[in-house]
Amino acid sequence: MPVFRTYFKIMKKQLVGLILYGIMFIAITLLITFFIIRDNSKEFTVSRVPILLINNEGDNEFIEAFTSYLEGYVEFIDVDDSDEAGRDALFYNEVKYILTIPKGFTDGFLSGEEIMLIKEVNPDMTSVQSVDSAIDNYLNMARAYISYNPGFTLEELIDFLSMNPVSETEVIIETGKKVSLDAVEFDTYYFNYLGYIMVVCFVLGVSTVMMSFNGLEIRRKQFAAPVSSKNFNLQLILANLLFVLVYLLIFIIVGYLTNPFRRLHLGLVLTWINALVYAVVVLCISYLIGITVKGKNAIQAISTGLSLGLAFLSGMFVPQQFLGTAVLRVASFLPSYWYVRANNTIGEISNYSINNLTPVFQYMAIQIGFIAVFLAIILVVAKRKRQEAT
Amino acid sequence: MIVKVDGLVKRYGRLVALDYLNFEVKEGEIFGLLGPNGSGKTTAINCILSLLKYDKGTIEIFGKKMGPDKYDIKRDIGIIMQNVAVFDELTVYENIYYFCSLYINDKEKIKEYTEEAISFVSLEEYKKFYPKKLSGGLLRRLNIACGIVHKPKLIILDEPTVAVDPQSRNKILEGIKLLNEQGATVIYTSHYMEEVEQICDKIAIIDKGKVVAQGTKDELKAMISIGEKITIETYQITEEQIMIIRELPNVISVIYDNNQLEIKSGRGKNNLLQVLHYMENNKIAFGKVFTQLPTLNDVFLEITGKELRD
Ligand SMILES: Nc1ncnc2c1ncn2[C@@H]1O[C@H](COP(=O)(O)OP(=O)(O)O)[C@@H](O)[C@H]1O
Ligand SMILES: [Mg+2]
Repeated sequence: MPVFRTYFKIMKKQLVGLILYGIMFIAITLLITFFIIRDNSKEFTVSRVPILLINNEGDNEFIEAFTSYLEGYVEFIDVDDSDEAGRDALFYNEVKYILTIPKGFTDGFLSGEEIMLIKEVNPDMTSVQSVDSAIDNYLNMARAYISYNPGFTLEELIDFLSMNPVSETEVIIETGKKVSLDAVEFDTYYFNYLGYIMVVCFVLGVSTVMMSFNGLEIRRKQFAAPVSSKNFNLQLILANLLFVLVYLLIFIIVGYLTNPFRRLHLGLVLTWINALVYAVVVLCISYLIGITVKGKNAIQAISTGLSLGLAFLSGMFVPQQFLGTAVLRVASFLPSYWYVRANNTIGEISNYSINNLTPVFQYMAIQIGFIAVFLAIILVVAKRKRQEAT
Repeated sequence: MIVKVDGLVKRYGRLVALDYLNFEVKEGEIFGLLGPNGSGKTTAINCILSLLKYDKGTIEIFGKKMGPDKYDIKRDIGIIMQNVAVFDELTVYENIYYFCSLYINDKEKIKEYTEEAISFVSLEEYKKFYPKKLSGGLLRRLNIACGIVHKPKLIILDEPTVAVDPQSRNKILEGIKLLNEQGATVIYTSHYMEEVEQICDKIAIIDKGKVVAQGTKDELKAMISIGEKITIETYQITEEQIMIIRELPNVISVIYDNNQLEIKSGRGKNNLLQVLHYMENNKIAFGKVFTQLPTLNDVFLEITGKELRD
């Protein structure tokens, strides 16, 4: 397999560059990832849901305990004491939730009656879920205590409730959010950035080598040799695939080991598969560049330009929801957009089911569609090239 | 017969690059394909190697019909392209090794042949050099080493000495002769007639895609009427005297330019003597005198009406 071996001999000359890019990538990714994760978690505790509490019951020990518990999740906002003012605040998003405690709530609740708290929310608000479940959790716990301890005193109940705080993670489970926020988030960021660095390195590596094999005179000399072009191309394709697999494997392992919250789960495996699919997409692009572009300097420029362009347009650096609709519309014609989207979707899933995995597979399928398109273009270009040489 | 080209026609769109080209190369020959730039030499070579599709004609190599998938024929051909075709990322050694490995499977043999090719072109000191670091002449030698490393029976060289310093050129020409002595048949294209005269046994002169004359160099020279070219330096000759020289027996043409009198005459014995006699008798002073046998350039000039080199 002389062609196969020579492929890697030539690739070896790019190795220093590839390794440098790799180290740079890992360093920067780790830095940014931790920065963002820390930032996000801060935001998570700080941004408590603003709510308006209308207390028709008046203060008592139970209500006091309840509201101070709620302060862990919400921020009580003062608004003028009228229905009108409350609705306005809700409308203008100054508060997201109006909670009314009806008169007689405490006695009714403690004696086991079904007395409902009254809530008013904007219909499109998702953040109220966490408030709902915080309230539910507290009251459910109280109800459970009441039913198992018939002779309880109010003091005992409040003690119990404060001793057994309803933990944050439980709330998150209840609201259907992620199990372990940070681990998954790290993977999502890591692999989104990997999408960028793959373009840099594959164009640099694969395109440069392919270009060497595709110089007109070299190609002629190869056609003149007793090696069929089928055999020749097969060796090149094998070499390219091996390069891409090894490259990806290294980054998968490094990504796994550097993730401080590492945990093997289905989502991570899906992310790996997605990365593999995208790696083949980028391989096709690099191959195409290698057989069409002339001049190694152009390769440098294309590697930088293409990687940055795809990264920005597809939300590898900036989350996709921050990109304008016009940008997103353009981006949806790029395979990188679907790679990132698949990653993000995987990152948002908490419990895997056919239903919530379907979009992930769809996004992968779209990328495979891109592979098919690029392969078709490669075949056409290669045929034209062959005619040019012959 | 090693190579037989019969009625080869190749068109690039409207341009007819090869126009019923015919020639034959016998075993053990150095066959020269001599023609000016654009006469179709490279096109002919590419057709012979099945690198180009052609419109008409047949090509046989080693007595078999040549085609793109005739790998047993290709295995015994070495080709040296007009433009240097090597990998910039591979060293001298690695380049030669690679091209050898396209032809030969045995690893030990590849190594042995690679070393032999390196010493054949005297690149021992440059084994680890990358092509970018080599001068034009050394690069050409590398290109040749890549082409001959697998010890082919037929070696095709397409203008291997273009843009090469005289020293490297001589080395290359000597090398080709040596390969020929070792048993290889050679096809050599060039637009330098001196080179072709120097090393080729058989020559085909081609112009506009056609062979206009073919034979050994003596046969070619015998084809034309000029037998001798006489050049005399003189400063004081009149139009009338030139007219008289022109009328001397066996003289074909006389040109006086830049104080040089150039006389072309047919084959004969006393061509120079009669001119010098005439000049002495008429007291025309003259300086240096040369006589030359006709060159292939004269052959080309007489057949096509134009100079070989522009
Ligand atoms: N790929 C091509 N397309 C069109 N015309 C070509 C091509 N290659 C060569 N030619 C033309 O064919 C003629 C012969 O070219 P070539 O075989 O390169 O001549 P030589 O090698 O003798 O200099 C020239 O007129 C050249 O311009
Ligand atoms: Mg040529």
